[in-house]
Amino acid sequence: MRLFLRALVLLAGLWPALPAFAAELVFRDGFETSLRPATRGEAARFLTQATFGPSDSTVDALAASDYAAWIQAQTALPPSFVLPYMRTQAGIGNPLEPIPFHYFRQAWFVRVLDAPDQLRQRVAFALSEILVVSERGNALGNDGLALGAYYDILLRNALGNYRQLLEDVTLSPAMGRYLSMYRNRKPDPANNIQSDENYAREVMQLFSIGLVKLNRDGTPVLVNGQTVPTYDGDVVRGFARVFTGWACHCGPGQPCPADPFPVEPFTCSTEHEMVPYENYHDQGEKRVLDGVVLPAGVTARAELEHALDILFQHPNVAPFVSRQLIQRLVTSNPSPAYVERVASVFENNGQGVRGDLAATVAAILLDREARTPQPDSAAFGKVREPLLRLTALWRAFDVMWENDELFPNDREIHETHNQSPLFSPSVFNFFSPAYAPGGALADAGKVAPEMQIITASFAISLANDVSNRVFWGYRGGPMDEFDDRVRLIQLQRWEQALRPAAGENEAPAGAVDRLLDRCAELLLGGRISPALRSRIRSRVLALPADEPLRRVQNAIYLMATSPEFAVQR
Amino acid sequence: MSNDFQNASRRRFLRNSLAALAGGAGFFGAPQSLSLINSAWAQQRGAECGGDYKALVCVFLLGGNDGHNLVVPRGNVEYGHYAQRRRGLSIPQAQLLPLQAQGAPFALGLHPAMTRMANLFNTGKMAVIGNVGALLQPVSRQQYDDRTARLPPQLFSHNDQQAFWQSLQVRSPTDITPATGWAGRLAELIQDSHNPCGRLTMNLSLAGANPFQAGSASEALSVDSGPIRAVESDREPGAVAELEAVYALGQGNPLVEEYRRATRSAIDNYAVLREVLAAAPALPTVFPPAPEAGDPPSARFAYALGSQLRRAAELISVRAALGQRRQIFFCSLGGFDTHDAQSADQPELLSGLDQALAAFHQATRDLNVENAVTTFAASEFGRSLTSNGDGSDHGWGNHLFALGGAVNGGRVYGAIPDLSPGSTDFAGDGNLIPKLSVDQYGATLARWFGVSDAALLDLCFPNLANFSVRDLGFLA
Repeated sequence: MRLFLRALVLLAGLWPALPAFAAELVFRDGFETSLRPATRGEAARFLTQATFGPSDSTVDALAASDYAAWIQAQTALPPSFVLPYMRTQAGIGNPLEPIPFHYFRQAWFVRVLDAPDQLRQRVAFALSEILVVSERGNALGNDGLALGAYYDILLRNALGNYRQLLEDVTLSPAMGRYLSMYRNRKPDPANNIQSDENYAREVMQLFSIGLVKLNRDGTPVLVNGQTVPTYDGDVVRGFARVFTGWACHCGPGQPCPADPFPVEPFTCSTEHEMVPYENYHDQGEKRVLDGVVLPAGVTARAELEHALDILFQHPNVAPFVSRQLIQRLVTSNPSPAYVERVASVFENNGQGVRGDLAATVAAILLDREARTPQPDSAAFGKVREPLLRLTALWRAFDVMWENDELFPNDREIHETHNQSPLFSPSVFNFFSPAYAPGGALADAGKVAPEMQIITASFAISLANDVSNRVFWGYRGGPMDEFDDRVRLIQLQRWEQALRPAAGENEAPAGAVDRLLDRCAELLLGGRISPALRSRIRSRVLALPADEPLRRVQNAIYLMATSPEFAVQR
Repeated sequence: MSNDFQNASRRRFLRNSLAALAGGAGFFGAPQSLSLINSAWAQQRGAECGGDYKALVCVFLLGGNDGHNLVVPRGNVEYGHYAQRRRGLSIPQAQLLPLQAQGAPFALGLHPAMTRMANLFNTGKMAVIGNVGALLQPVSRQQYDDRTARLPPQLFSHNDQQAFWQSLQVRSPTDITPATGWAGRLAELIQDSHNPCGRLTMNLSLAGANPFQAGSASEALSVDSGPIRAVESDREPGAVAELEAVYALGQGNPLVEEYRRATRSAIDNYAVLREVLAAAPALPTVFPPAPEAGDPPSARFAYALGSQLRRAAELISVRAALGQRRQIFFCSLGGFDTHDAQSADQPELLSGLDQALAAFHQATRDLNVENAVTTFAASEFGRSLTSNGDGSDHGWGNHLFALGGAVNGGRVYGAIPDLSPGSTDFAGDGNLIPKLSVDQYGATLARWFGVSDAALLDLCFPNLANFSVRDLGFLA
């Protein structure tokens, strides 16, 4: 890893010293992609993919650096975890004490809006939509402790290794409860009881290899025109018996039962990873993937390590994970070649390491397909996730707040956005990576996953949300005095730039065009259609010049509600 | 013109249209533009705005409801087998709600949380469909066990089986995502003949995007169960007109264009909904209220589904103003994936379901459409008979039910399987092999809804031709 980072540092100056893969990322097929953003718009476009949204200050910082150095610096930043923050906010010292879930939402917004480790935060959020647990459902209701601890696992491993991530997730009490591996026990034939198949099935289908064998470029392997299943029911039953014998950790002095299996012990930690109880682990022989047989007589942990190794080494993992990360960060319909380039780095970071997520993420962001603006005909980009629309708007206009607590509407953000962190309706996430709305997109074989949650009612409420943020929730505006928990955008300097000079009746020469250009940089990566620009410009000029704030607000409102903003390209 | 002649001429017409489209229908068939065929047909015979009214209401139980505990053998011998094979998950015999099922070979009981549904069954308003599931063609135990059976893709996977249940077809052998759903195809078949004056699409979803209602040239409208919103900006109303003007501009990037089109359509459709619903008299029916602190989980489930069904009832009440003689509603309730704590969770889920369905049935009576509205249960799969300790795992065949004044209720269609240790109803791996297919279940509903032509039913239900019984008979 360290070698890889050093390579990135050297990228700008010392080409011959580059490991081969890094060179291929940036220069290939005789095609050269600039290492630095050529414009502020390009910098903003990169930050839209890699963070929770660009702001003037982060654009400035990136413009003074280059992409690779920025990634290196981000990777080196310590994680801004959520659980310690949640405990402080809730005034809780006892590590076993439950924490209400709303502290997690608060922590999430504070981190994504403010934390310096934006790349890690963005990747962790993407992972939370692949390795899904949710407060919704019967298992984790209002369990902020378990869910905050889970999100910290994602933050810790977001730029680490996928194998470690898979293990930490597997043994987390949150996942244990969500997919019922927690207290899963060996079969009991006398009582006609089999092992729980839930985690065994979903860890394969959703967290590692998927349903059918894949080529490295993410396309399905075809035999006689048919896809090839990765596993069958026997394999599920085999893994179900692997994942037996795990329950909660009981620390010194904690009032836990010696055997937590017969009765659910609510006194156990939901933060500490689960621990094995060998009496409940199936020590028999098991057939798992591709005919591999796990021998009898192996302890719970050793067998779990072996099983996760088998999953992690499966050829599907690299394209399966890479493609979904590309979809979450850059584009819904990556070319097979793009997937293959990233999957190759997942398989080998250049130092022989498999599953290096920092290298994988760098490969995603530095790839030519991500960095070169694509023509409209390519259907490039992704519909912004509803939460990411909001964070982009806030960050673009220097969001500030006095009290970390969330304003009640933001605490129930799913009611307006149909999305809230760790709040998916099921383990299948808010939307499917394969979702295609009917019509032209589906006919062209393209997907638009995020459209699955932007139904009619939410298309309307997302537009109205922009109105609320821009016309109500700004520094000095009506919500500022009303409640110190409201997140406020800051428009003062934008307003100032548009204010007519003393004795003048019009905005300074060129000020309206500069306003539009700079808003378009931050919100649209500098790429605004002439039609949209012209319409917004007419609207702004039709408003009185002595109401510069109103002019700024109208420009932002129309740009941030536009279909062009709705899709990050 | 006699019916026979009309049907024959329609079949001929259809055959010619299909030939013109030059694409074979069927399981892997390319999506056909059914509405194209149908609108040409409607032009030939002339369509009318007025006429009878019917609605189909799909209630999808997400996660795979455990049908083995929904309809349970109550006779001593059969109950004994059930209790023996369902250790830790079985319902005490005395708690089962007796079902007076005509013609059933042994006594049956309904889950104790479903008191209102038991009453509707026993008064002939509800029918149970026993052991129905995803099939391409009949499957024998031997075929399944020796892996020669032709099966739907990815049995036991939630999302794939939800998609298959709702679509009954896939895009291609290499892309098993659904192209169109059977409600989408059904709507396109009868849109022009039955809803020529409809101001909205026939398919209305109270549960968001779904494969069920996707057509090849039509889509469902998602209707919120809360306020029907408009785009507004109270502090700067003039900006909204500008926004709408922006949404009139076509876009080059297909993703941007899709966002524009979807939002534009939402704004227009919601304007119609607001206008029509504002003029509607209040529904007299009492639906489950919003849960309060301390309420059991069933209150949450009753409200979650009840709110959708209440909005469906409201949309039924304004059918004339919407110009709709036919409506298809999609509702859902999640949480049925009871791998864990099933004995605690399933009763709450079923109680919520029971409360919501009973309120909706009452609403159809209050609106005088009891015989015109058929509600039917769906779920991606059944669950394992065998316990995993405190829950059940993904299965296949399942027991479902249909409800309404047009239902020939008080009967079980199909059969509740033999649960004895030597039963041949279960495959070697323990899965219950469905005896009835979703195609047959859906075709029964579709024929009642207005599609009597065999060729059209086959278009809608691409696997129906593989089954000898085309109508399960639970609808008048």
